[in-house]
Amino acid sequence: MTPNELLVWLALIFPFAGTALVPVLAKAGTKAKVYFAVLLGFCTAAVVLIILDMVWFGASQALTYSFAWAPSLASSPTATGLSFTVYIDPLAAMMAAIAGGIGSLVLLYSVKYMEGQEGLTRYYALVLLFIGSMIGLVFVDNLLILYFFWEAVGLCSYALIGFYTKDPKAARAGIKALVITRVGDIALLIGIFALAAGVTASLGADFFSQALSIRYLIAHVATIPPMTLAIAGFCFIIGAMGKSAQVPLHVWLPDAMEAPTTISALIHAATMVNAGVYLMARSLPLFASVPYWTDTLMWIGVITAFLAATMALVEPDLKRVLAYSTVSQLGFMMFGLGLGFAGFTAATYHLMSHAIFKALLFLGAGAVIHTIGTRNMYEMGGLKSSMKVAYYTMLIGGLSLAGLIPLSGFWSKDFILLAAWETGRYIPLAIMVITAILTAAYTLRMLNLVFWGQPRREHHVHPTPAAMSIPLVLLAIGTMVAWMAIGFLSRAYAMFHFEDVQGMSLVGFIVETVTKPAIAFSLAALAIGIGLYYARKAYAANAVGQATISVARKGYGFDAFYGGIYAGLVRFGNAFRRTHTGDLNYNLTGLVIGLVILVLVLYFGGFLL
Amino acid sequence: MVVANYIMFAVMILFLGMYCVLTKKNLIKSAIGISIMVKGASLSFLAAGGTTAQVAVVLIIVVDAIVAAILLSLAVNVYRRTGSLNIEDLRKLWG
Repeated sequence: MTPNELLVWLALIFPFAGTALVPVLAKAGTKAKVYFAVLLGFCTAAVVLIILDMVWFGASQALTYSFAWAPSLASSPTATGLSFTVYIDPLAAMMAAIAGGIGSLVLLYSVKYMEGQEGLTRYYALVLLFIGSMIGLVFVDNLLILYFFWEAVGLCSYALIGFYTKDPKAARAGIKALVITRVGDIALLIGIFALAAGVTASLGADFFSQALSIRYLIAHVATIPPMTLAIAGFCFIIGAMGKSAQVPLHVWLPDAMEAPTTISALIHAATMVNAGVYLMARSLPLFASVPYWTDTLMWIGVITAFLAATMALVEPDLKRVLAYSTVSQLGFMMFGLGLGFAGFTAATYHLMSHAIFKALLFLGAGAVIHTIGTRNMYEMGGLKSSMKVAYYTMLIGGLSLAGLIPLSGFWSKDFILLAAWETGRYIPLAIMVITAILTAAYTLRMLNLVFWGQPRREHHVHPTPAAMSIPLVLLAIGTMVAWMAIGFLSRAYAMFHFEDVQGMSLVGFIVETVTKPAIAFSLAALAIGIGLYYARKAYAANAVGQATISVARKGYGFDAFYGGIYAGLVRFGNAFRRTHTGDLNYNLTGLVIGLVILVLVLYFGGFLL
Repeated sequence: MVVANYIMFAVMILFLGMYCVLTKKNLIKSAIGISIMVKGASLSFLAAGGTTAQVAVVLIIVVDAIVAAILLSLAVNVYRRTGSLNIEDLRKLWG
């Protein structure tokens, strides 16, 4: 085992071993269990950061490692069976670093935030499993194993959203997340099988294991039948829409706010929702040639970003504002990827900067909620002087989200707008600029309601403990400096011959940003957004304003629509319930008759014998 | 053909068990019927011959013993709760 292979193993073993050992250590006491989980979180973070360093700055070569997983699945002696192949390129290394790095900070934050709660063993075991699954998801090259980790991430999100098992709302939100992402998961599975079926049909059954390798598929994209690519491509989009909460499959994410705030930070910044964007980024070279594929992705991003931003503008719940803002920012990333290779660097760069400042915002919001005991922003206010750490760090995070130069959110959002400008997508670009305006407005609204102005009621504010303020400060520093990584990121991409990606230096990037017209859009959006917020009373006063506000508050009726489908299914089930007598003899007779009919059909259809 | 005879006999046992499960109202009789059906299936395996079939049948016998144990323990619990073994009294499991 070479040192590289050891690193790959450690990155997966630390979190998974933690999942297994936390329940064992629970016998030794709460403290031991919690500190052990935090320690393993930081070990994981250290390993993935070393991997990031090796891949970004090392030889222009991916970290690969492969071992036979199911060699007996080979269809002939010349073919290879399924292998567990790890392929870590700059994108995968970045995603793993986000999952491990932010995940470890969330674990540290949880020490105080979750102190004294019931079910902490379950909590820490699942958080570690969540982080480990996400790292596994971005590391592997085999689509089937990727799907396995994809489901593991979904399972952890379900269990953690419903962490407060005694709260029916939380349990419901967990089930909602599981069911809605399931729609996407099934589509992804169909896509994977469509790819495998298409490739083996055209190249022969010996190519089954290659048909599941992302790297092989990208390298041999010309040999895949176009129809296969089209079916798989659109199925993959639906899969990513479910995981990354794109309209119309976004409804689970705001409800997922019933989870502990630390889990929200983890889902929104480090793990779950990034998976869909990652899948799209990873499979972009595969499907870019499919007609309308990139356009579909782009418009999904545009619609999602815009609708979610309007919903964030009218939401009274602090965490739900942040949730809608995540949906909106994910729309930005999808939009960037929908521009094709021109937007690839921008979209993944935005993913990185968003992960950092959104984790910061959620953890800051957690500190506020922890102190005040409510999530309703209209009951907050005037916390600026009493919660200094939370205020200043959230101010940095919020301004980064709004797009204030020189915070990381500004650079990455501007980069996406620039890519749209240079590819000549003017209509979507216009909508995205409006979205950026709304982003600035809702961020300002949030900061104003929570921190500025007069307190709306008496609060017993206690100081933020160190275990909570250290992650906040670290993430705030990250928000200020993370954008400087663009030079390394783009150079690493260029080194790996990612299509059409140009390496650029940090200075070159700054010069390009400030000299291109897109910066005018970004800054104008920020200014207009602030203006819009202060002009809100005039807007809310007229009838059109009232109407849009009430529609947006109801989430544009998506929930009502799904509720209708659910009610219809229940009615259907009730109608068919009558065929169940509840008598064992009748049920079994039905079963035997069904079996006989099946055998007869198979026999006369020529499928038997 | 000896094998055909064995298979015929196995199918007869299978139908016997099936008849028992479909018509009897007593839970223990249903359990016995299920066991008889499994015996018919394993006999057809043996009739096919070969070591694999023999291994499979040994496995089936072990599993069948477990199934019978679970079914009977269910029956005991049902009797404790409802005071009878008649499966018509279990209709409330209809849901």
